[in-house]
Amino acid sequence: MEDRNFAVADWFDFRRAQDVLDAYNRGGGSALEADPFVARSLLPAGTGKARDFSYIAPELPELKSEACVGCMDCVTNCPDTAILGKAVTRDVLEKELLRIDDPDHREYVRSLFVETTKYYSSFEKRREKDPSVPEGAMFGIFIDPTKCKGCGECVEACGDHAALKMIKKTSDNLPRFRQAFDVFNSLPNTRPEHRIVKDHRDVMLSTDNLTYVGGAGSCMGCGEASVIRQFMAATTDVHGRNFGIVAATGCNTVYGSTYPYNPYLVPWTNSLFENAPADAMGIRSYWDVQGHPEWPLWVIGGDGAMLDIGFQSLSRLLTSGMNIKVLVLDTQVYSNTGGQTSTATFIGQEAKMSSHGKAIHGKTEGRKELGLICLMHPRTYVAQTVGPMAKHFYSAIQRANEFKGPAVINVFTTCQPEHGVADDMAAAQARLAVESRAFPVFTYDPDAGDTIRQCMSLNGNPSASRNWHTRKNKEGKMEPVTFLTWARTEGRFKKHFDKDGNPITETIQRAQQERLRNWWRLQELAGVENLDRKAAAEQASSAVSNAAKPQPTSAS
Amino acid sequence: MSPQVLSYLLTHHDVEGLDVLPWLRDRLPGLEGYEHDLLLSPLFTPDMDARLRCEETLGEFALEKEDVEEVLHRLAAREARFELLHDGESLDVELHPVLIARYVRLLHLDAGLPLEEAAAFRPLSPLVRLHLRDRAWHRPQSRALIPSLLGAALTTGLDFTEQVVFLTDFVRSHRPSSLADCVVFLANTAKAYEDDLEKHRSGARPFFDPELKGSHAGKWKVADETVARHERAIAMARGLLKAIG
Repeated sequence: MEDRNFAVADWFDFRRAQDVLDAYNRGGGSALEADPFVARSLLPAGTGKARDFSYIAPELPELKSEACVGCMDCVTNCPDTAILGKAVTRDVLEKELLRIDDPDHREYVRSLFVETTKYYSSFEKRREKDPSVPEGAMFGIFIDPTKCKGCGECVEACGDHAALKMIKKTSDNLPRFRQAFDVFNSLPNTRPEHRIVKDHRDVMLSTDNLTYVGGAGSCMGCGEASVIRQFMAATTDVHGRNFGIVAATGCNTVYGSTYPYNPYLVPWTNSLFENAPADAMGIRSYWDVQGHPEWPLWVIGGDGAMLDIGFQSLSRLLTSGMNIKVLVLDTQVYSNTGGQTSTATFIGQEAKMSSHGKAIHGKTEGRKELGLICLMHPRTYVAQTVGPMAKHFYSAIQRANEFKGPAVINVFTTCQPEHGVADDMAAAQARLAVESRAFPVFTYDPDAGDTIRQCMSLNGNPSASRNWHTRKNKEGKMEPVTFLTWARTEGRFKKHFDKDGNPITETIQRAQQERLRNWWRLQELAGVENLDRKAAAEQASSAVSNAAKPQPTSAS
Repeated sequence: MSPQVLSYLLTHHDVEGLDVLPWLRDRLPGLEGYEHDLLLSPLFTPDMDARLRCEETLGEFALEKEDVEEVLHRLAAREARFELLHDGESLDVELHPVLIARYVRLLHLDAGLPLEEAAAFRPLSPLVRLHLRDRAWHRPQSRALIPSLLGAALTTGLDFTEQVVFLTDFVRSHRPSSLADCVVFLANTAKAYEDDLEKHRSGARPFFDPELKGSHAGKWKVADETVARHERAIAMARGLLKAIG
């Protein structure tokens, strides 16, 4: 052992890494000799790629390609890099298909491809007028069964397109998925000209951008992991692998660095719960001195790290004006330590240290609004967003990367066990949190103007000039989507409702009022006139003036 | 407007002024075909009711490909419109040919029924016909299995139509090439569901990290509908296995 050279190059001794990974995949990791890399807390990049979950996950998604439009929502929302899309021309596809010996399997793989309007017809149509336009591409969706945990998030994201369905995984159909994924890997990468620039989700069409490779130990359907994948793809698309991550202790460091599996293909470090921003300031200074001021540096942390334990460190970073970006994975609870209350926890939410009892019904304090606090720091770009609102999310990441100074992207992320929602509901619950004003989205760009309202935008929130958004319920009647509408769908609030879903505590009503006031505050800052408040004020004013008018008497 | 469509609109287009319907009125006519497809296709995916209504009209017939083209041509010529409802207001919108094509394609009007193989089971109910038109049965090996599999389904004592739905999914997901394949694959399917059910009942769930398992184990409960669905699938697979012998 003493002869071993601990040089960085040794990390990339592929054979050594493969031996270790094979041993862990067989469950024989503890029989390995003492590893100097573990002792030094070093993990090779991207080793998560070698992890195989196929023996754990109970189900797999199956594609019905004829219904697929190539929207890429399934690929975008997958937390595990387990479902991927590719667009290739027909001749490239046919050439690859010829390499498959079994005609039945060849037909199966062919059936996974479809002529979508997005990647095929629109190109062919333009090509009729302009022969220089590339020919249309066949689009296919493929599953990596070694990465899929069977959460079903892709099926939920596909929604009414109805192109995906979960099926029971068995020893009989699993090999077919593996073989099909081998074909995906053999096919060339999607050509850049087939990416639709206007559609941000196409960033994941290039496999080069998938620098979060999967194989992380996150729970089924983890909302955090999907957001990290999206952030990684968007940043890689512009900067390649020339960026770094400083992770604050939290769930993301637990599932993201379980030896020997590393899902990241870029430099990543973790120090403590409370000091990631300070750690990043040191790295930034070093990189700048080394002549790499253009390399983006990101801090990733949960609400526990960024709103509570590391809040001071974050504030210091933002005040410094240093070119460091911060991605906050806001699950409104300490997810990795078993669900303790944080200052991001909503009023009425049940969490450890805020249990729902007879006298006190969950958390009583109001939620700290990190986004608003951050925008009050000197020249800081701030976005509050959710992953499934892809354009909003990707635009925020893109702007943060461009912005010469500190930026904070606060993202609502679903934590299934702590929120009490199903494995496939991360995206749906995040969207509903936006719709119900539980977690409104906004952007604040200090370079966009001189006043707060010039810098702030509420675009992305439905019915932004109203108190609540309204939509049809199952009975076909229009009804407002309130905080209660959303809270009713999450287990963490279930004790506030009776069996018919009616609110039964004063606390949950107070939570709704607090969220509405938060929304009013955002409207005011963004200069969005609230038509409901305006109407109510006019009505009140009219009532007052009517009351002030002299009343007719019987004599007159 | 469904939540999926609204969400798409708000997140992929810069809806100026935050008003959805005025934006659609002004901008929808200028969007490219693929943008119509991405935005509105969830509303133009025929559901089971629509497909059944179509099946009742089709009976045992299927259209030729040219006939489907003619249907598309005629529908486009009608310059069909539809109404989008949002926030209590409505907007009359011209239906893009891309959406007509999608809807018609997914009705499977030109998917022929395997009438010869299914002769013994006629008359076929609309729901059975709808499933037998599925591409999964067009594969020659699957088609050849229809007499044996549907014959077995008749003798299990379980609902015939429900078994046809189950078998359609089964042949699509497992692609058996012989009855011997079916026996093995059905047994493994039943076993896989049974193993899952045992885990559900014991409250165990898959975790992928021991530390997170320690923090969260016991906080999830599998939905009753999932358990019921698994129980039903086991009954189907075991019933068919017994019938096939």
